[in-house]
Amino acid sequence: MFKKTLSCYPWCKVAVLAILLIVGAVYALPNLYGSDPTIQINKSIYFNKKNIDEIYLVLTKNNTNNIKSIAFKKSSMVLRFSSIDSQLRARKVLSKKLSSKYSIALNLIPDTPRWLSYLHARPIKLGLDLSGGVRFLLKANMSAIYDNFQRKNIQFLSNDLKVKKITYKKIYLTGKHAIRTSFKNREYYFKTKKYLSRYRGIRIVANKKFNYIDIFPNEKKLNILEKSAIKKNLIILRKRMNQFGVMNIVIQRQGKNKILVELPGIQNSKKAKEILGSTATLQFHSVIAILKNKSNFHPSIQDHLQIQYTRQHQPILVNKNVIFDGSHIKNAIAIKDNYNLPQINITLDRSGGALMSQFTKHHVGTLIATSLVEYKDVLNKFEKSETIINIARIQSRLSDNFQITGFKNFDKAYEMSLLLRAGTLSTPVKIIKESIIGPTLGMKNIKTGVTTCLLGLILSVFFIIFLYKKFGLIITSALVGNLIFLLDIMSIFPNATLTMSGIAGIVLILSVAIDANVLINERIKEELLVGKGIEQAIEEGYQKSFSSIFDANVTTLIKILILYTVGSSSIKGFAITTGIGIITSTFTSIVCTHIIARLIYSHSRSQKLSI
Amino acid sequence: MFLISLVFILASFIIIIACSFNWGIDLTGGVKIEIKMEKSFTLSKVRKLLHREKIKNFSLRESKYDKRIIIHLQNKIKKHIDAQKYLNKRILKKLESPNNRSIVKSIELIGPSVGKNLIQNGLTSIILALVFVFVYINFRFGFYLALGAISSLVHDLIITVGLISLFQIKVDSMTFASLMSVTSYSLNDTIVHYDRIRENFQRNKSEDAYYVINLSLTQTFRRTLITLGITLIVVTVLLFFGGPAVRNFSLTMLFGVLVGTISSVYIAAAIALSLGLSHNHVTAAK
Repeated sequence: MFKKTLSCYPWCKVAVLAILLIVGAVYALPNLYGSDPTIQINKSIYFNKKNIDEIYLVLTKNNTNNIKSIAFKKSSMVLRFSSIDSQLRARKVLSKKLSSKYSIALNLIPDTPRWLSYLHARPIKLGLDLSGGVRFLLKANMSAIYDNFQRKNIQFLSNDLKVKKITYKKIYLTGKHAIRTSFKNREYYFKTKKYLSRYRGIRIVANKKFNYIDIFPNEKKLNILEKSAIKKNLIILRKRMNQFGVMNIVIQRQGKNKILVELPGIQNSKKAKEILGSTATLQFHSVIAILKNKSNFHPSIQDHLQIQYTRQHQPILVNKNVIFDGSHIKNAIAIKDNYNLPQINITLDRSGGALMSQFTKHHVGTLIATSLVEYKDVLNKFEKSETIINIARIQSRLSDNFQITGFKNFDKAYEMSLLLRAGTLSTPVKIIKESIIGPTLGMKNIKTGVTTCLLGLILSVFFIIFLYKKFGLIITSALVGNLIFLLDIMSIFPNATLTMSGIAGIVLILSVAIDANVLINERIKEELLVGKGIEQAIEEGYQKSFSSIFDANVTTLIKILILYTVGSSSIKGFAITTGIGIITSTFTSIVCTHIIARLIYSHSRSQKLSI
Repeated sequence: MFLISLVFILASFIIIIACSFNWGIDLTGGVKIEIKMEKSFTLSKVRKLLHREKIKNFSLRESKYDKRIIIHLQNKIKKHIDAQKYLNKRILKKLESPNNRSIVKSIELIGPSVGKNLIQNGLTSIILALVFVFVYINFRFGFYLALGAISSLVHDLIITVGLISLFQIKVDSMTFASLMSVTSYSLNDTIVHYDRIRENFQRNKSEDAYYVINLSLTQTFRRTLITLGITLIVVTVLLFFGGPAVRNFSLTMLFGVLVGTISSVYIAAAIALSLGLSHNHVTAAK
């Protein structure tokens, strides 16, 4: 394990250690700087000078000073403010005065000085419980859910009425999501009314004058529908955010049809907004004809046909019937094909594969259109917009694996694949409020908690020095190094977020590290008692205690690995922090103290060991 | 010694069934109240008021965006209207003063912020972890010692959970971290003892198992006490001065560390011994 080179000064080792420590300290520095409230202004293409002047004008005209700094990056402009108040004032002004071609997003971004960020030094990502974040309030539009539900019921109703030999004039869905059945004959009207009164789960409004009956689902049924739709949305939003790489989010239902989403400060909150609100899904239709001219055809003549447009505004006549839709997509991966063009490799689930296979069996040689369906928010109503992004000829019978092309660039294809993977929202949602929120635990509580941690650390350091004297000093420096390295690695690790659970893990790690050193020191004392020389006692102390430290740390690592793989996201945070901590503590407690101890005590003439 | 432990374990089960747990707001959801105060109001005043009203399990945040205070309360109010009456009666009237009125901006029921399967997930991970740990200890120290280690860990978990129930410590996403830290500490302790036992077995090939174990435990006793002492210093400081943020964690750790040390010393090896540990069963060290 350790070579018995008792008589050479380990200078080079110490030098390496010192360099590591300095580098570590530098990379841990960003954590001392706080975060700034910022506004991110985005345009869909690059900013030109005119845009910048326009924005400056708006800002200066309205006395929104207190801008700390302005930074430019491709198509976004980031304004940093010195306080949240000035950020919010600026936001009010900007959203009123700037045209809608700009999109504005709030954020909290760390304030790392330029020379540090040049070195890629970053502060640790803090979880929502420790730092503030961005909060979105989403409202779900239930119309689609109600309509779908009622449409199914229309089927049942018309079948039932046929069986009962009741003829009706019309059955249709009203704008208020009611099934309206109108009658010519008053006798049928009464018969139906009586028959319907037996049913639970519905509420009837009957109009005697005009002979029609409106059927609404009752309150209980509505609640069930709402609850399940929102629940499904929660799951999918969570999946989306995870795909997007944001860990440590809070997503919960608020009220009847609202969803609360909280994200810790992330770099691109505009992206987050897009991902949250996106209702995009794919639908596949069979193509009847590619039209040269729109006016050649009136789609209302044939009930099952519809005109959709490509991105280049070319009209395509398609069959309204959807072969299958995005909900059957099991997996979607964006890749570049042989010509470096972006495409998405789609894998369908079994039922989707069956549908695809059934369709393509009878339609080899015909065209199939991939249609991107989105619900755009227009004046408080959701409008369905369908754009054909791809038309392909069916070469052979396809089943559950195929590719779609027709994307603007690879980024768009990648985003689409993320959304497809996470699933389609059961109802479209709209962001109705965006704000900056403080940490869950409260700033004061966090400060108290962290200061007491340090206090506890200092007290234990005193205890250690009192107990082990000079060796105690060595242990203390190793502990400090441990914390610094832990902070560094956590800053660099992309997935690592520090939460309150993570701090619990750090307390554990410190106690394990101290324990390791206590073991070593006690062993050294034992060896001294047996009568061995100083250098030998040190060596044997380290060597003999190594096996127990090793075993203990391995078992803890095993537990951590299992927690990381199996656990949910908050458990993962604890696992990452503790896992990294164990590695750093093994390194600092054993290797570092060993090197320092040998440095001090090699060739030393003293007979006594200050331990 | 076993008898005492068994009594404690039984007591834990009874307590858990009787007192149940104090579920945190993360897991249950509740009511969200947004209040706008005319003049700005400090969070600590609101917190004190809520404490005085004996409302536990709330979370208080400030939304600087619109100068509002957001309170998440945990309670069993199902209907919107009742929530408003309740709120008015207990909280608003006390917050208001003639020159500082409050406007309730919204009251809504909110769902839990953590998935319901947190507990299920946690249990599965713990059980899996115990299995793997058992395999490793078996490989390094032998079957009987592995059994002893696992029983000591299970003992710690049950008693700590019982104590959580007894003292009604809030159970939320951080509880899991506390429990894991407790088991890791206890496991660490146990392995240190085991290592010494293994070493002594190798040295004294002819001695009786009881003697060897006793010797090992005595030898490591000083180290056990020192580590326990240092950890207790940190945990006690956190408990008394750490504020509400760390209180649950530090209390759990306090109990857990004590229980864990006792179990490592008195239970782990003792179980192995009573099951018939002898020299051949301890595998050779690396």
